[in-house]
Amino acid sequence: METGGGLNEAKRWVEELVGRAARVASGAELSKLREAAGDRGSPLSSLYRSMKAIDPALRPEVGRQLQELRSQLDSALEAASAAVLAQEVEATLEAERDDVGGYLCRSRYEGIGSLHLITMTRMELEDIFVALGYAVTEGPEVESEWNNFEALNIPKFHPARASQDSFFLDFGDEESTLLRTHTSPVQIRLMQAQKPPIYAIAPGRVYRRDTPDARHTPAFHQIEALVVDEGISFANLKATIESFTSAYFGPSIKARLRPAYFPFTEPSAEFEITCTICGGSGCRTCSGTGWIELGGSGMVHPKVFEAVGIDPEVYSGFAFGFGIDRLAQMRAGLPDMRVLPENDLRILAQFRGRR
Amino acid sequence: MKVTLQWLREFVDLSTLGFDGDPIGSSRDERVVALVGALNELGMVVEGVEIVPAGLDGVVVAEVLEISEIEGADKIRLTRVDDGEGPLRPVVCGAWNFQVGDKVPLAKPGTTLPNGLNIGSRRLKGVASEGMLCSPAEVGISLESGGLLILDASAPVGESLASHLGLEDDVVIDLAIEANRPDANSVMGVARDLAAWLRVSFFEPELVPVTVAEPANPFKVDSALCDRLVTAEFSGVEAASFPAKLARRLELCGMRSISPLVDASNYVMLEIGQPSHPYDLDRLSGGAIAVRAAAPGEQITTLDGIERTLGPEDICIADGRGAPIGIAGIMGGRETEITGGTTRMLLEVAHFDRARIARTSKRLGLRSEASARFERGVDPSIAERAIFRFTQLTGLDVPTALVHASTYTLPEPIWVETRKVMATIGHDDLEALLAVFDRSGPLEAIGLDCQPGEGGFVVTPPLYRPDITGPHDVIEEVARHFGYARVASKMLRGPGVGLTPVQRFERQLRELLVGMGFYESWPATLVAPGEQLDAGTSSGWVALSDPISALESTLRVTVLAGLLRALRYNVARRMPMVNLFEIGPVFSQDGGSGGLPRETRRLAVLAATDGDNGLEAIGSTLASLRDFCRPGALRVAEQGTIGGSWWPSLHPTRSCALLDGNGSVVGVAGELLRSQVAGGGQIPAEQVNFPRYGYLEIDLDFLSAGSGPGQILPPSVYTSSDLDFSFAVPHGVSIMDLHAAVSSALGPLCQDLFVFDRYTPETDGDSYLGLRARLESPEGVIGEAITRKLIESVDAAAAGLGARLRRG
Ligand SMILES: [Zn+2]
Repeated sequence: METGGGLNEAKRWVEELVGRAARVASGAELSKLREAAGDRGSPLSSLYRSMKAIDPALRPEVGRQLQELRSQLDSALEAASAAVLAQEVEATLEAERDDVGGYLCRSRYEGIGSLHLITMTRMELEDIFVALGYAVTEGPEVESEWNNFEALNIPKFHPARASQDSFFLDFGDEESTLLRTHTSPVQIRLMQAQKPPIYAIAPGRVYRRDTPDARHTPAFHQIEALVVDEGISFANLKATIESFTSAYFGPSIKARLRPAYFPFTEPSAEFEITCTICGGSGCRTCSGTGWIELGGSGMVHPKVFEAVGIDPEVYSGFAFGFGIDRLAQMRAGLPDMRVLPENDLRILAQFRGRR
Repeated sequence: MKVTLQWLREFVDLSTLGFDGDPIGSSRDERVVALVGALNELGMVVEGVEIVPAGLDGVVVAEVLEISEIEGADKIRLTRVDDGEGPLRPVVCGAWNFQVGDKVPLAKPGTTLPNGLNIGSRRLKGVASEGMLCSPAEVGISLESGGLLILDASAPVGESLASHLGLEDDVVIDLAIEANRPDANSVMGVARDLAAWLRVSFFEPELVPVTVAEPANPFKVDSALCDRLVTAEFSGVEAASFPAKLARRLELCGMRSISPLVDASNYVMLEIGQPSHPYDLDRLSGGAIAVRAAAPGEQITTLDGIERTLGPEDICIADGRGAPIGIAGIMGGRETEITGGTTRMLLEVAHFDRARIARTSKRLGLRSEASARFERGVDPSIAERAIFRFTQLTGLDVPTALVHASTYTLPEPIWVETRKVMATIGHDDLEALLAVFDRSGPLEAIGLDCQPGEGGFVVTPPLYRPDITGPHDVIEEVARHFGYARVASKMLRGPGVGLTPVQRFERQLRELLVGMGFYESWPATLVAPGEQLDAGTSSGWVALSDPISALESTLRVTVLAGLLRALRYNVARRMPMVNLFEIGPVFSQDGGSGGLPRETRRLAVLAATDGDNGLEAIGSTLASLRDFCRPGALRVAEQGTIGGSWWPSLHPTRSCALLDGNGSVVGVAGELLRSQVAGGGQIPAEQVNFPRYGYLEIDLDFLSAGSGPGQILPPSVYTSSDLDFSFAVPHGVSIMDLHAAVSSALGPLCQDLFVFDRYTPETDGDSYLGLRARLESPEGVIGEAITRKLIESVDAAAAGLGARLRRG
């Protein structure tokens, strides 16, 4: 039997189908193509069915060619199927397209909140003193006149009382309770509650009847350090202030002490640091001196020890204190402290992300 | 306290700092910098430096030789003056206090006066004027500008005015003097300290000899109020003079030059620190004064024209009849004030009780240069010196100083142990440190007599250092004159206990709230009574006895009283999404201890959401906080049972009380009333469309006292099962109670139980609540038998509360 016609017809048919497969653009076209390829009446199927009628001598060669056509068709279908799948995935992803910017361009007030600038500063200071081996303590904001003044060797009519104009309370005897004017009464509480050695700081809020200005609010924050132990000297005080200064401000900022007067310490010293604005060369902030006054310090006065019942023949100690708000103000470049009590969200939001 | 360089140089040799005669151009001059440095290191802090050149180049002594009218002018006249340079100079002048033959200052054309005025040649009313004749103010020696400065007749014509008056270039130094340095409230005291520091000579001022005597009839002096009174009578005081050069110093130091007598009294006070008071002897009844306590209600008109009422606490100066004529040490009276017509004068030089002066001055709100000095301490022994110096300065006839009272006591010697000096200062180079005690060393130079003894020194302070009463006061002087900068630092570390668990908890709490989107607010602890009322407390707050403003006149009983202000502030600025938290104190009249009001610390959270539900906003915060407490420690009571005057009141049907394990109220949570936010019209009408706010206030001690969750348990390895329950809940049954009952019915297998569905019908009747439980067992998958048993228990538990488990 003559086979060339059937084989050629099958070849042409496969060629046509392979051509169609390469152009398949959708799942529906792919299904139609698969249907056509499986058609029992196709030239390829017909040829398979008529194999027995073929000259046995030619059969192996015809069989081989048929096999080849079959696998040509299969791989074309497979490729078409993969292409359609890829197109579908791509279409799905394209359909899901969105602009990330739509999610990033949010209100600046959305998201996390923030610690207060004062808290951040206070915590950093606490951490420095904790690293120097100090405990952190606190005391009440409402204090007795005794703790705030008397015990600190500031008797009535002492000039130091006038400089710390107080908010007295309508409570108990006249002028017996007040909003503490400094954190120093915590010293008294500490020494009454605990036997030496004492190495502690007391951060907290204090109040003075001053007219508010860009650098002062009636309520503000101080941090007080107190050390009471055997053999504590002025040289220790000096070293402690120096190490605090370089830890907080960096090694290029130096500290110096100069004689001053505080009723509760003697010898007393005011401590200054290199001006952080000009680095010591002199500018408006430091009135051209190159130094900024930071706080007060000194050796605990024997009268204070007497008031709390610590034997000054056995123990000695030092104390120093300074304002937290000023450091916070410097840290954030806040021009006016009077905005803080307002709790304006537009200010608070700017504390976010600060270190 | 202001001092001038030239004044200081009369007492201390500053040549070691390089001061010679060379002009000082600026405050950056290295000699000025060195001087400022020395003063700072002594604790006399320099607050300002001003360079003040005499500025009188081109001003000379001129004699008025002719005065003539100018046609068409009635306020100015034409003078012709001799300035020693040849032809007479025509100068037009508007002053009238001079006549032909007077010597006056002439500013020649081309001169710039200290006040910046440039003098030129010009024509006035058609008349040429070559320069200007000057008033005292124009040459900078006083504020007096009523007429020309009339120089003495002997002034040589043509001499420069500056050299004629002895005016110099000077530097004004403004010092902050501490309360424990009464000696430094005088030029002499500053100079003495400076001389000791620089280890250079200090010159005691030269004195004119004045006879000192005991009066036959001493004035009456209450020795408890005044331990020294010395007086001197002067006659012919209309002839008193006061050098222009020194008047300029007074002006530079901030005191007005008034008249020779007042100027001399003030000059002596600034120079040696002793205030004195002149009386017009002819106006002084009985020619005598007395020092006594004022009678209650006694009245006096002081020099400033104000009538003041005195009391028995005040020290009064009385006249010979006993009538009050002055407030001792603070201000004299108007009646006996010296005037231009005074011819006879009594000068009072006294030493008054410090504490009394301080009290009176504070009570009257009247502080004077004199009272400030008496308050801090004046040397009681220098009264005679003040009289000597006064006499010398005014050129008056030398009087006899009469000592009416002298009962002051001498300072006690102080024993200062060397060991204590070393221990306190901690500087190891003992020899260097103790050198300050040396003969002619700095301590002696500032007047401390130091006698070496066994293991220490006997130190007797001078009368001008009443602040030095104990060894520590001496040690401070040792440290000061050794130099704080020279003390070698010695590192010290504490025992290192770290933060306490409570402090760490507080930090964690803050970070948690920040992470949840809350801003930490500045605690407004001082609030208006209206804000306390708005927060729902009606009484029990502590008020300030003398507030600055009503807005900050009471201490808040609840944090809410302070936070409402922040809330309204932001809402009024169209920033309604107010999410704030605060850890801060609250105060109340009752419940305190140790004689103080009650002060406790609280955590408060104010939460806003986009939705119109404040409970939604606060719910997740409260849920998170519960995990910080021991399980079961924080309970929630039925809505509307908030009690206690120190908790805020919230929306009555949308709030709850927080209870501790014993059932005591430890906080409140819920929604704010819209009226609380609006605050009586503080928020503009167009901004009333704010959301509802959730609020939470809880005792911080309660939160931090809780030990927190227990040990961490490994989760079960077996598959968990979810069990959904649906309940019909009649009105009045609380979800919290139902949740608690179901949780306990499910027992330890229940790992989680939460509301997943809620439906409240419009009509009265049951609401529906869906609770989802996650069950896990470490022993295996939970089988059907157990599940069935659990459902039965839940059914029974719900029924016990009146709720019904819907099954099927
Ligand atoms: Zn600077």
